[in-house]
Amino acid sequence: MVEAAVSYQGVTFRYHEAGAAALQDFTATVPKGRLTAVIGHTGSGKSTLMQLTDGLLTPTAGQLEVLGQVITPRTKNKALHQLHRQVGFVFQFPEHQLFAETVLADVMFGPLNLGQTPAQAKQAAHQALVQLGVGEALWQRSPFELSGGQQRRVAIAGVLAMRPQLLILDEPTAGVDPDGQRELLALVERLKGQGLTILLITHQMEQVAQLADTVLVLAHGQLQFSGQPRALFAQPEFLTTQQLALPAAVAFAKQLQTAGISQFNQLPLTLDELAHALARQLKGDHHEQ
Amino acid sequence: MIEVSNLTFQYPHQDQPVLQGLSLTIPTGQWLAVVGKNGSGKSTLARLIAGLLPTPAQTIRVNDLPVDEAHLAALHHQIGFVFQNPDNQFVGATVEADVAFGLENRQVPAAAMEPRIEQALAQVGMTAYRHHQPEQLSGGQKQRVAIAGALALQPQILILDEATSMLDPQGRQTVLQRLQQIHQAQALTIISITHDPVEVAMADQVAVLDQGQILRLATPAVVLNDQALVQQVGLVQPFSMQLRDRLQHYGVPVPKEYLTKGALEQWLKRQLATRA
Repeated sequence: MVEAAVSYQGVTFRYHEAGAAALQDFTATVPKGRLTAVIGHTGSGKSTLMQLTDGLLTPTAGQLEVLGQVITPRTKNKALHQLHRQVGFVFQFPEHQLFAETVLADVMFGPLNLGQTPAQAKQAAHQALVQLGVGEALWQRSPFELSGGQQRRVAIAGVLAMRPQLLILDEPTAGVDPDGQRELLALVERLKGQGLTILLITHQMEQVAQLADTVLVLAHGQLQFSGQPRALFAQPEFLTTQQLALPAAVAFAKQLQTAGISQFNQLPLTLDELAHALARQLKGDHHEQ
Repeated sequence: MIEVSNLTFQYPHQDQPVLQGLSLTIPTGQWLAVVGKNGSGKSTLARLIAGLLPTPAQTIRVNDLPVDEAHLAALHHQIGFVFQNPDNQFVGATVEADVAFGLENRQVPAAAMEPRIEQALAQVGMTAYRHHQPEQLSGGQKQRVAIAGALALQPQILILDEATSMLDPQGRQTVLQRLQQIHQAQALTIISITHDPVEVAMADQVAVLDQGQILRLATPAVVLNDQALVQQVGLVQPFSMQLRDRLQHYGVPVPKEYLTKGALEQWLKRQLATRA
């Protein structure tokens, strides 16, 4: 059993005392050093869940434990400062929050805020910018002169420069062109390979199939599913009721099965798995059946 | 019909033109996808057609109207334009008010406005949100509202500048299918600037822009089957083409031509039937 980076224990959250619960009796764990995808429609409670995880909110009832720190309804904001240092939260369209005069100053802002010396902050910023593939030629430029994809990477560098133990990515590829998307997904793979615990909010089922070790599905503030992507995508009826799509490879494999063209022992999850299984069948290797 | 002839355009603060001697004809009722890397000039072309930038004299005609200062009002009656960033164009206090804004500008009578707002919101699947405020909406939902605002004006030409980029894949599919229905039923001319292979595949023609010129003007089948071109202009291949190429990687002799998902399915069916 993998150690938990986060565990939610019956967490309920209401924005207003009398209002509906944005999150209701939520219990789940986020394994350490793994990538957990969080999926759900607008209003499903996933943003609330992420804000609780970052210590920006405290629960109305229940408790959660994030990187060893227990947060209950009685936890004071002051006690959450340490947590903010350990959790990196990349919001949707993070480039909208760039503000400094130069790229380097923007990325250094976080480490300086954590109390690092300018020399330490600079070093952390350099490392993060290199990791994000932002060339040195851009470091003294204004972030506002950069392309949208470059701005996104600078904004993510600003969070990574704080060397978080847990990284929350909210739709990191939304609104970025295909080249930029490929680069960002390669970065997520690298960070995952380095053992960082990642929470990835996404609408893209391909990203779930390719990257996630675990998936949490939320709807109406409640947990609907917790498990591996393969188990999730093997339940088409459940996905239909949740109004969630299948990854393209799974959808195509299912279509082939329904049309009686091909049978799969185990539904392929990615394009590569699908091509591999089909190639075996096409080359007359019938072990697949 | 939109006629662009020998169009060169340079922004004041730049040292070289973003468009260089570009010529293009878009017949009425055509869906043209415009693709190309960032900086290739595709957004500039769209803005010049709509008269949103100072268009050089005698370079663009829209339905026989020259695009110039004197004809701007008439042009804006024909053209609906949707920008990528919905925050820059959301002007209403609510979804409904935002869609109404353009109609009020055109002095559409109040009685005629209501059904048009209702229809436009239904077309983009936002009926349930009509009394919501913009800050309650996601980026994708704001983009839907922006498209509804343009559709409510019942333009003859709709220009979409990466207008579905923030929608999730299913939402994008739904909105595009609605647009396709309107395009077919009403001969609506659509110019869509996009990176999305699904959106490209829906077009009648694809203009590939590179360094301010048209590198290729061809059907989606021809463009999407050209792997070198697809990579050069920063597109992704459609699923069916990716799968075909991956099968080839695993040693399967695959057809060389463009295949839709349906065509690939039929090909697999024939191949597997002969194996059985």
